[in-house]
Amino acid sequence: MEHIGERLIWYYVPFTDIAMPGGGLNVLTVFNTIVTMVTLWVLFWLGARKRAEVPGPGQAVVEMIVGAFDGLVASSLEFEEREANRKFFPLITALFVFLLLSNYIGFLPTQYFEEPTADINTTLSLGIMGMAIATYCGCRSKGVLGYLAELCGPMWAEPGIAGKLSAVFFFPLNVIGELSKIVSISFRLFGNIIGGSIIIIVVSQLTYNLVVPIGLDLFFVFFVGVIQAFVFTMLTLTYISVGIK
Amino acid sequence: MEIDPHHIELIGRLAGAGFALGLGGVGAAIGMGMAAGSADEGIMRQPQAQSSMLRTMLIGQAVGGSPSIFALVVGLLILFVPAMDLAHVGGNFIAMLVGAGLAVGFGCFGSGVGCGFPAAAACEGLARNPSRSSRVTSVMVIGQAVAQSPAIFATVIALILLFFYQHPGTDWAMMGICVGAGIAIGAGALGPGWGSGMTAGGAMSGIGHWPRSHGVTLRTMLVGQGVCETPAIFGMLVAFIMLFAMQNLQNDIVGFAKAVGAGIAVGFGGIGPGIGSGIAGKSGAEATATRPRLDALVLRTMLIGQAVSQSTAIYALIIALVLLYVI
Repeated sequence: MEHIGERLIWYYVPFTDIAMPGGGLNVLTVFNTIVTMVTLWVLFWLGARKRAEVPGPGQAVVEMIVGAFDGLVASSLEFEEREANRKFFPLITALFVFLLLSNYIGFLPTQYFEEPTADINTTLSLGIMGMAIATYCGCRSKGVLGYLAELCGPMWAEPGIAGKLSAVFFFPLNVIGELSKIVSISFRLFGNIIGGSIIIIVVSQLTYNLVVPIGLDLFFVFFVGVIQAFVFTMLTLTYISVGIK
Repeated sequence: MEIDPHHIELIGRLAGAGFALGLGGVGAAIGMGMAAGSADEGIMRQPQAQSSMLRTMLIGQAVGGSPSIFALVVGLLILFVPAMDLAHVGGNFIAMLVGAGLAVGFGCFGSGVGCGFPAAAACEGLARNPSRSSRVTSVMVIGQAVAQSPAIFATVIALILLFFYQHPGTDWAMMGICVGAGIAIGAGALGPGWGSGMTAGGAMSGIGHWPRSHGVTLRTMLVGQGVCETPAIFGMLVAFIMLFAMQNLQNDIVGFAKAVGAGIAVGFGGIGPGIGSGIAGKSGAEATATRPRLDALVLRTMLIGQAVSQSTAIYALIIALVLLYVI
């Protein structure tokens, strides 16, 4: 049980004495991220390779995912024309399938496959990416001044000095609130995934790897994995749509 | 006066296991009772649907009971985890066991109660619409599973404490870190577990009334539950900071007070925001089920309301970080 949380980290560039900038590189996370991406490319390429009027099984699955997310993005963003919704649709769909496969990769029973989402660097960078996109979209649709005025609180637009003074209170609060969204969205995914793997390791040791861990795998890897991937994706989409309106 | 190490060990084990099961069993029991009560009312209304009602009630209670099973597993571990260095067992060992007990006790309390709301609402919904039993049951199980993630966070912190924080002797700093991390994640998970259960309950009662809008309601429920869990995530963040980044905490009673104070701040500060944003999520999910056309507007309003109601959890987080790093 001593190897919980222990990861293969390169502190030096291989075969040299040169230190890695920024402290080190988690090799397994990078490797598993690349595995996930390549697997997704291959799966979607196979699904979209022979497009036919009557879809085969691969095309049917891909069409199901794509169709579901197309409707989801359109109903959340509510732009008038279809094209404007389609701008965000690839981002959201790719985010979901990437997170889903990343959460499932830990099911492979070798020590080289660990969930990339069980590393805080992955989830934190995805969270920062989502909030940066939401902030950019907010600035695009309302203008930078309009976005800042929204951060100054609800009383900013009212006439009189009291409304302007209230911004002293609201502005830092709203900025911290925006930053805390990044923390909460990324730590939720990270905590759920690494929590599941820790519980599976501990219970496997207690029960000598008999029967119980399979049920735990089904719950923590497959069920929690898909739900947390969906929650992360939906929260990113919702923050973008709140930023736009 | 020299105390026998076996007695010290026993004190820690009994206190820790008492906290774990004494607090951790309460919530699940309340939740199961809610489910049973509303199943009774439902059978009174629709006696011919009693078999599907009984099945839904049992599934809801079984899934809702898993927080208390987490508490049971950790409680047994607290009782029987081997002490690494029995000759030098001291205050650190007691504090570690008490911290693990507090974490899992408080943490499983909230999720246990929370899992009762969707089970109760599902039985009520079945009494209205007995033909929708499979759809209602599947949404109920998803809602309960998400409401358990605060309890999972608490269990993980308790397991980390049990297996990595066995230190010999008595240090103020180490005792503070163990107890503080336990309170931070334990009490911090209470409100979010309760609140995200309320959100799931609102969604279930909405689906019971308007089964057709279950797709959008499920989405609003998941987003609302996700946002409800923010205070628990703050608690987990502070617990991680204390466990892995506080090696230079001063080793006297001031350091002890800092760590425990930070744990109390972020832990108990998260109860209100968790339950409050759960109330917002409950109404949001119900409103989405009632008027599925307005789902984007309702979702936006719900999210803004939840974010504002969580500002006190952010204050608590700031106070905890100030206690740990500034003072």
